[in-house]
Amino acid sequence: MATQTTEAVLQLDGVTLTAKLGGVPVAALRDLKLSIGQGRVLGVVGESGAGKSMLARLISGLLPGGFTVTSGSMHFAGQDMLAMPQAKRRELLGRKIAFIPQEPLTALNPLWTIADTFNEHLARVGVPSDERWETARKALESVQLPVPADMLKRYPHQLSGGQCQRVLIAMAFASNPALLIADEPTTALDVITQTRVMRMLAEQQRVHSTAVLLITHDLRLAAHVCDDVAVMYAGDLVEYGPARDVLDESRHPYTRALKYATPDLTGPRRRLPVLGQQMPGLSALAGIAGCRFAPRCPSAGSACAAVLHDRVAPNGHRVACSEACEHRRRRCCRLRPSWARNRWRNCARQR
Amino acid sequence: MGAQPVAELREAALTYTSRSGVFGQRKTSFDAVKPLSLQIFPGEFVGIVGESGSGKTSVSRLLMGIEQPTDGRVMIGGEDLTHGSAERVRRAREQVQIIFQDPQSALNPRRSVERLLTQALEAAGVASLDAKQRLARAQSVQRDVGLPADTLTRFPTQLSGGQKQRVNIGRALCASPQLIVADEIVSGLDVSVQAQILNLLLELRRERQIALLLISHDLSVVRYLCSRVLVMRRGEVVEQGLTEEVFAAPRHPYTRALIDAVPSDHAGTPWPPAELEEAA
Repeated sequence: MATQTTEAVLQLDGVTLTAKLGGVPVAALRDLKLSIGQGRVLGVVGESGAGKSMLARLISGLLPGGFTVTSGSMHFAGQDMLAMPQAKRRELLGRKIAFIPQEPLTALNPLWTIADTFNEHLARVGVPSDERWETARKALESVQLPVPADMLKRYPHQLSGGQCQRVLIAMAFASNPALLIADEPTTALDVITQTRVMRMLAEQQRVHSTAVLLITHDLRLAAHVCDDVAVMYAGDLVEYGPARDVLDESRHPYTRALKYATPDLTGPRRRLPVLGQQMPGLSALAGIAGCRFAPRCPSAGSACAAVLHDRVAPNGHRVACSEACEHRRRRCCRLRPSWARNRWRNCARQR
Repeated sequence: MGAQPVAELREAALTYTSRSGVFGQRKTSFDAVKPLSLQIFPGEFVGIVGESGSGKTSVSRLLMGIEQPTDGRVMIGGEDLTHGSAERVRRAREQVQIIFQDPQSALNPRRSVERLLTQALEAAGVASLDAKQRLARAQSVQRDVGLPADTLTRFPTQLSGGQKQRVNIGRALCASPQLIVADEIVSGLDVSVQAQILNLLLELRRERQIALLLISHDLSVVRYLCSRVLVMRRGEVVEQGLTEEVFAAPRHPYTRALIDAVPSDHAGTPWPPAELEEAA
């Protein structure tokens, strides 16, 4: 994908999003630092409850009640979004910031034809009514849907999941947005359809040189289609850096656990290592000051739960893990990497 | 393997016909499953892969006896599901249990986990047990599937996705089945939870010699669990064989396309592949 980096389209600097749970403030998102340049793709990876969708809602200004940003700043194309009046932020939505949801069928009104949906969206974008049909037809053509004019007359239930998702991609790019938020766009689709949809998304992104925030739970998918990858765990950004480094040289124990918990398609078959316990819910987070992964981490030490570390490598690869913790893991994994995956757990058990 | 297969399809086919036009004069038919033969032996894990609409789920519906084959035979434990007395067919069908994709909608939200499990025991025809014995059995099932002890009194909405899927596996185990049909059971789960469920299935095989038919579009999951795999496309098996051989050296271009569509473990390999379209 394109690699031009000028001014950041979106820049988050130490954003903390706090929720009040029975009077106790809990950081739902903690000290987020990330930026997306023009035409760049940032993948946000994590399991359910990690705060990925909350991040998307924060950026689009659709936070649920009771959640407030308590510190940090968020800039969109140089403007401070948090200081902006609500009306002005709403102006951006759908025009400068587009959104592709996870469930394509529920995102489309079942009583409207695709043309009706396009009509509403293009009206908001400001396309004159006599040009809307042609614009919609061209948009559908650009995502390679067969017979666009015919497609426009159909209802969502007459389309397959992959076709619906392509309609939504076409609609998202119709306003030529600066930022696109794609929330698990291919999770509901099978592998072959996923490949087609992702290729379409990448192509449109290149043509419009849009900055994309791709939310997914698939670390491998993210590493292949994104320039940068951010891994989230319980509201923290635990690892952030160039996609290649994050997948091939993961440093945070959670990223490694995610990677090794997915079965491989090639190489020797190995038993999947399993992490004990679960990701803590919002109410359980209040008591953890330091690393939120520490209770499940095989190489965590006594100091981990007290402070949240933030270490940056020269190439921009950031990891929220202490040096001591990483050292302990490396000592266990000095043998062949293929053994190390399982050995790591074993030596953690022995300690 | 010299043993008798627990389940067998003999040239079984399934065609859906729909009528349209005035008085339903126009008949259109759709071959969901073209004549297919398949044998599953005790303790064997078999996978079916393919994209949506390839007929994977129709095969499971045939095995479950939910659909009658339009042609051919479906045998469970040597019993013919298509020609047999109602009583014997019912007994044979108990040998096969199914677990569905969405763990939430498969569980009644108004029943506690204990009730969900004891209900499954009742439905499985374990009528000789009294309430106390049933509870004891429910507890042992709960331990077998690795649920914490306090889950028995909880309701489905209070459980996580992985725990719900464990309850569903537990319900299937209540009937002491020979074969479990697992229809996309991990596709809605997070990877770390997925790993737990997959390891649980492997453990159950070791302990109980249960056979499993795994329907999935995730090839890596099929490779992890199954020793044999069938690749389906438009109701037809385009390739089958030992999982390792099929994945290492696929012979059909469609299998190749399916494998290429999975992002690789290393960031160095380019993805998405360029020449996917022709094969698919």
